[in-house]
Amino acid sequence: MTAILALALKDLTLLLRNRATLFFTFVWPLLMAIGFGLMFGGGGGDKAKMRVLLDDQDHSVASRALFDGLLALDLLALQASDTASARAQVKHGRAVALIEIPKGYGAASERLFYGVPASVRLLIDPSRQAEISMLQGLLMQVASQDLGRKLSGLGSDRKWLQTSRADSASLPEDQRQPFNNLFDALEKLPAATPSGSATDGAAPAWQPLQVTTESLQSVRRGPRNPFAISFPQGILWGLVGCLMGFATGFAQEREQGTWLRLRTGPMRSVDLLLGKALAALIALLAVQVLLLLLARLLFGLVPVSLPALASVIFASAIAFTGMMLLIASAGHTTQGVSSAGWAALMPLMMIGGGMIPLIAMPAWMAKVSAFSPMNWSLRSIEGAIWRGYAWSDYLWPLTGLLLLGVLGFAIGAYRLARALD
Amino acid sequence: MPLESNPSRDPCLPNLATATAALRLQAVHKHYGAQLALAGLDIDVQPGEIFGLLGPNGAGKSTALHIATGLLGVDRGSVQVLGGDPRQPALRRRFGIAPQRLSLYEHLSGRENLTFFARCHGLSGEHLRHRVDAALAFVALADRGRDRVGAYSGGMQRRLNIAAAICHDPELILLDEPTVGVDPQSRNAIFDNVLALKRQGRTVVYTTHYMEEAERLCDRIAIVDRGRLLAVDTLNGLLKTYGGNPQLRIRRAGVEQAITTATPMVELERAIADGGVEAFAWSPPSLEQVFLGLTGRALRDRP
Repeated sequence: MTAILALALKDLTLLLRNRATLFFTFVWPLLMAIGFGLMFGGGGGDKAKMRVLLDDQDHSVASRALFDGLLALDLLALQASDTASARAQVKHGRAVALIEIPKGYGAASERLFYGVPASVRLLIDPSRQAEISMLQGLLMQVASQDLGRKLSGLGSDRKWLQTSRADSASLPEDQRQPFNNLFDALEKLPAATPSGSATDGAAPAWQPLQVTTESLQSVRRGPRNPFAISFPQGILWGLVGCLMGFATGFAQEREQGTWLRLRTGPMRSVDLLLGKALAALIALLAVQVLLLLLARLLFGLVPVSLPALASVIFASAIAFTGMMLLIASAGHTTQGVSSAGWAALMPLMMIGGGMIPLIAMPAWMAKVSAFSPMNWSLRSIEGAIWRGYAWSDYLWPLTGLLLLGVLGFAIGAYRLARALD
Repeated sequence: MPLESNPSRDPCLPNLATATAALRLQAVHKHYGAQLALAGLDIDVQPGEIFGLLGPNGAGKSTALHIATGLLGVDRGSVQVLGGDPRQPALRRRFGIAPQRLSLYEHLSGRENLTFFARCHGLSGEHLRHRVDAALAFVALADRGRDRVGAYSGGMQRRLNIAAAICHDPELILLDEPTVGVDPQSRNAIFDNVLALKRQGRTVVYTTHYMEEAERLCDRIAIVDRGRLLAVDTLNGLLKTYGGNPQLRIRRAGVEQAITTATPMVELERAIADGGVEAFAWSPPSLEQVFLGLTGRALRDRP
């Protein structure tokens, strides 16, 4: 076992020290993923902003102010919409959320200390919690700015203050007096008071806006953003680059004679092949995890199912490890293995979604694509990232990948053992 | 025409009749497809000796070594290494090979290479570190151990190739043309290494087609060609048996004449008596003469 680990460690060290292999295994797929993501529409403009819909059922000055305030933040692609259409868009993942401003919002916002506070309702896709939290924060920010404007007299006259003073008349004497003191103080505030100080003065237990949320059952069928398509493709290229790096490295080792020296040692042939396979497996896992982490950090790509994604990553690594040994056994020289490998892998990549995204394939091509193991891997990764597959959807692709891995290892090991003896 | 060796010639050699052979190939036949590589090769290497395997390109030297290490099976015949089957993992820890092609990882340092190969042979911990240090020091690369092998000169790589063969402390070391393409300094250092291995009591099998290497290093030399053993003996034994007569060269009136004779002194006296001798030289038989006499002068372009 120590010798197998030593062999795997040596191969991983060689991978890290070979700049060309390292580039095509880690850097090139990342460049592909980012480049294609940008080409598919992920770069700049409204596409980079959260798409949020707003249904203004109040049509008041205050609701308009909230809409304008959100728009002014320049972080949202905000669009007015009716609730029925907006619900469907959120469910299908075409918008992050619907902000519903109910009737009475304007009146409530004018009367800060009376009756039901001003509120809005968020209809959300529960799988997009990070974006929803950000949206809630933005709503509170706009509402606080609005309050600041009111307190400083910048936004309107102080009619709301008179209304509030009148409303407080109905309060018991002991509660009314403190409010009247507050209203007196607010009337004396100079008009140029910075809005920030007004916001800071809001009592902790009191909110300028009440936000309630409602989760919608997601029936999304499309990717959340273009990087949800380009990164799985990048992962596929990373897997192929890693596979070819190890397969040609193996051939090179046979050509150089280091393999001969290893075979004169006490390790059995199967142990030597297991060491090679272990190194490839670790590298194949690493390239997938690294690209997914970068996708998460750079483009907020959150998988819909982590357990499913972990299973897919593992199955893909097993499959590509098996293919690595199979391809390594396809030639006697580095050039022979390289030619055979690319000749076999390129058509599989072309029809398997490595070049044309699965989502953009014509129907006939999608049918042909189902025969490519690249498709099994890519579709499963997409399934775990944005397709929201059920476990039953993974059954055939993952079974296919695992079988391919085992068969590839068995045939490759057999062929290599015969070729080497 | 396989020939018997004469064990009585060198008293320093072990008693061939009683010692267990370090390497024994008996009537080994090996084909590569239709091509016959070994045709009944017999080799008997005794413990503690440097055994030279001398032959032209394609003679079957490397095939014999690959069979000896268990890399290749035989079609017929038997192979014993250190008294056992070379395919046994436990036995494989007891021999090491420096292949003709440099079998090193260029992207790893010299130390990393040796550590890796030693670990593959089951070494670990302090013993492994000690053996790697010793192997690097043995080939005078201790101060360059941390450098990548790709930055080594050809001679350094050849020396490290030998270090990789000995870092797991083997009893039997197989060196397949270890001086190919190195400068005279590195060749001399390798010669010193090989002789030091013998002094440590190890057995060395040394394949080469350089006569001076065989003459300088080997206790016994086997001459093989076309997969057959043509002769095996000490250098003196080979010269005596196959070297033929000394050569006498005489120059008269600017013309040089070469005479191969069993009685050069008689011939020289006769020439002097005839008169006109301007210069003369006498050369004893050489290993090259033996080699060419046994293998012929035809070019060997066949792989």
